[in-house]
Amino acid sequence: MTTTTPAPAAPRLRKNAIPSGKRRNGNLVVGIILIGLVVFAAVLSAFWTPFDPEGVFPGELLLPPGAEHLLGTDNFGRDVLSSILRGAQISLIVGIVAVGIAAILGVPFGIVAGMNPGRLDQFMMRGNDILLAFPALLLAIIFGAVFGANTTTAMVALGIGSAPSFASIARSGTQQVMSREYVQASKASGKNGWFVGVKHVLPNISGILIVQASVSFGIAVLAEAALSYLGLGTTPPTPSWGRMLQDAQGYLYVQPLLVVWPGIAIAIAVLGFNLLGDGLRDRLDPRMQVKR
Amino acid sequence: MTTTDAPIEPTLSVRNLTVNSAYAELLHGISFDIAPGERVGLIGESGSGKSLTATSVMGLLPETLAANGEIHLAGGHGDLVHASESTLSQLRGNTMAMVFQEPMTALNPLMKVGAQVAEIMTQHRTVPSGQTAAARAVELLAQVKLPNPAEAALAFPHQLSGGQRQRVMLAMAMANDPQLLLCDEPTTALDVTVQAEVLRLIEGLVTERGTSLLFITHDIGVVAEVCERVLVMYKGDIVEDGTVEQVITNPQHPYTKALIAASNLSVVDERGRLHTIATSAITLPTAAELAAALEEPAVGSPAAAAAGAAGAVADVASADAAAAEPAVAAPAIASTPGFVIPHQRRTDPDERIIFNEIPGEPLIRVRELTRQYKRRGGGKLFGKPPVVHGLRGLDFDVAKGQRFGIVGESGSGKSTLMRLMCALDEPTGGSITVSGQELAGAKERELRDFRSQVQIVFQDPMGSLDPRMKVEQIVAEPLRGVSREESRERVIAQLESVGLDADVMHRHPHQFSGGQRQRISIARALITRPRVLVADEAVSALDVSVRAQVLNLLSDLVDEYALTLLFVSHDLGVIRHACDTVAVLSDGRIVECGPTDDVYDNPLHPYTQKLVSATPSISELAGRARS
Repeated sequence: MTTTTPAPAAPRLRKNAIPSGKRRNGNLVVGIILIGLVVFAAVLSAFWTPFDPEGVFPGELLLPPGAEHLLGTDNFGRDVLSSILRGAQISLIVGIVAVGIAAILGVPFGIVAGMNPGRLDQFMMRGNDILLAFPALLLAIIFGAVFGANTTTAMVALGIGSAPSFASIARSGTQQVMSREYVQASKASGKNGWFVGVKHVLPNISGILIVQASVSFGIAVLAEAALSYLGLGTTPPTPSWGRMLQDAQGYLYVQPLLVVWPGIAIAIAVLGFNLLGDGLRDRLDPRMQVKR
Repeated sequence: MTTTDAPIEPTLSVRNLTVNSAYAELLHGISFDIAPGERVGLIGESGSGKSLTATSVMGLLPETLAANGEIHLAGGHGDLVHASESTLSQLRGNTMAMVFQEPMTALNPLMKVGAQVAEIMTQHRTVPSGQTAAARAVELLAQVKLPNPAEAALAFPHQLSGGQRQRVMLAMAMANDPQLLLCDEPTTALDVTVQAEVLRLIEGLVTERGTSLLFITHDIGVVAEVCERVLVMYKGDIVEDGTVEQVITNPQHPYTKALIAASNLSVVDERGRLHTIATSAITLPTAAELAAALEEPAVGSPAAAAAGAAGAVADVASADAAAAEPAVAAPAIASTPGFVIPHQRRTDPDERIIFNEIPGEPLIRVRELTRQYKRRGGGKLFGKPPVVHGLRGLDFDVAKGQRFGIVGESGSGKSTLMRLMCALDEPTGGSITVSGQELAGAKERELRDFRSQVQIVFQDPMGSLDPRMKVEQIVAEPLRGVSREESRERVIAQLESVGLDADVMHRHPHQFSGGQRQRISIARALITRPRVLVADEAVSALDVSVRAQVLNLLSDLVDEYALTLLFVSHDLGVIRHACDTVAVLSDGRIVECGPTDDVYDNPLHPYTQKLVSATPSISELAGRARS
């Protein structure tokens, strides 16, 4: 089993704070290419796949990669390439929606807490701690039991489950920004909390939030896989990379390549989002720009 | 042995030292010697390469920089530039030692200071055993004049004050009797009175032991206190080398001349403005002119002349009047003709005195203002948290058009006062009225008018501008209800008024130098046409030459917009130049208040006297050198 509880992940700190211009652009370019690949697969599969990803061919079980089935077939005789292409849809949607829900819930919560030190902050953050103590997986099981097990409930549960870590990170970033003099200057010129939060705090914590989002995206993709395995995520026969991985476990000795393909797909998506996140963070920070 | 022709081998000999980064040469082949027991100051602005020189000598350059040339220490240790790390670590802390600017970060926070001093000795095996090292550490702490050295040795760094920590650093540096002591801005982070004590201590220690000293600072006054010889660095070169007296009274290089002119806040031109590097490059004041100006500080503006005369009057008055009686002084305030600022001092700590009391409706009226803080985590679990006093009952007025300076050391409450004056914080008692608006207990929406009338310029030119915003957004921020076109026009006009081109609007703050950023801050503060400008240490983070330019700009703008200036600073020189009235803040109370020149020339309160005498003054030094 992979770890499915999104830990209260601290933002990854990089040792080389100012990477050279080339490498920085490199991150962004490679990230865009990898994510572009996944998006392309998702869009393409909506219109065309080599075979029907849900079509079972009993005569063609566990075939090795070949001319007809480029990546071989699985234990039901389904074409692996087709499943991978179609699976990109689920992974992308799950990742984006879960991270989106987490960010939309967690970030404003954290900013409000960080901007109002004292009672309100304490109250909000203790509530946050309680939610943080709840494993996202458990939340997903409860959601599945109440609302029925499908991709949507899994996404919502994962989103709510990872919102507290967004809130913690947004709050600590906010506290740092609030101590800066430009916030004091803004208050001294009569700007209200709303303005300060949106114009000063949010842009200045966007860097750590982007990193957190890209990490959370990877976690969400993996968690979807785990939930699907437990029967709480994507229901068969809709293909999902996570379930493909889990299904392939049983045939590890017969056809080990079955594990490799979804593994590579997940790795590409997660790596792509991490690189994209790093690249975007640097790109959006005016201080990191090369002087023209 | 490294052989030189000189009869005495220099303690430190640097030959043709260059330092290169990947992009540029930062030090352009500098050479100098330091004789045994000689005290040499290395002075220059940020980016001049003075710290690079020291780190090169210590072999502590960051890996991205490459040094070339030769550095030799007396005693034949070979060339330090190309020495191995193990050779260098043998020398560091033993033959040569360094004291850094920030004593808090240079000390290990989890280790008792006595142990840290002892460690230096056990590491280099200069003492036979750990016990003798501990005993010797206490001895050393006594030599750096820490009170209760035995007890202090058992303290952790955070339990000591800044000055005490710097003394511990000094004890560590002197532990193995180094031949050479390098100090990198050791007193810049300290209060003036503490700075004076630490400087005296450094001078005493090195003279006593015959240690050579290389003292790096940006403050020519500090160099004058400690050193015999001074090296002036400018853009990676040593441009001048001479005795302190020579360099200050008769600087040769144009940069040195300009630097000294800009450092001297008591010399002003016919408009009452300071000499800056830019202006003085065209008309450099000669030594004779400088001396003449020093003799008569009132030569500058008529206002200063009046203040000078007032000082003389107050002199006589304070001599025979009882100390509690406010002395009479002169400069009248434009808005209230006939009114003179009294020179008052506090004799009894709990006595209520209204300083600078102005009849009628002053622009700012502060009465019995207190601010207390609850200390977090202190006290008993369910008991009341202990209270820390930020301000203990301030009473003063500021008239319209007055330039009111507030001077105090760290912990005096000056930042608290500044925050209260801008309604960024709530007082725990008393009242502040600014043009009829009561700030204590006011709701944010009642303060709308106030917010556009009182603006603030902060100390840190980087931290006070949002790095994510463009200059246009930053300057336009205080505006409300203004169309985009009008806002842009006003931003352009305001940027021009602070000496910046309109095309800087589309740039981000990090693309500007410290002085330019401070100009942007000022533009933002003035765009709403405020009546009151609060400057919080507005020039303390700037280089000397830039400081003069920004102070001149502030003076110009205060005149142009008829502003009331509230200038908070720890720097007496800056306050003296920028303000006509000064209040001295100590421990949450005003202890003295009066016309600036009067207070500085005849301080009445013991604290003010201590503060004034502790400030290194270049004009005083020049005067000393002449006589």
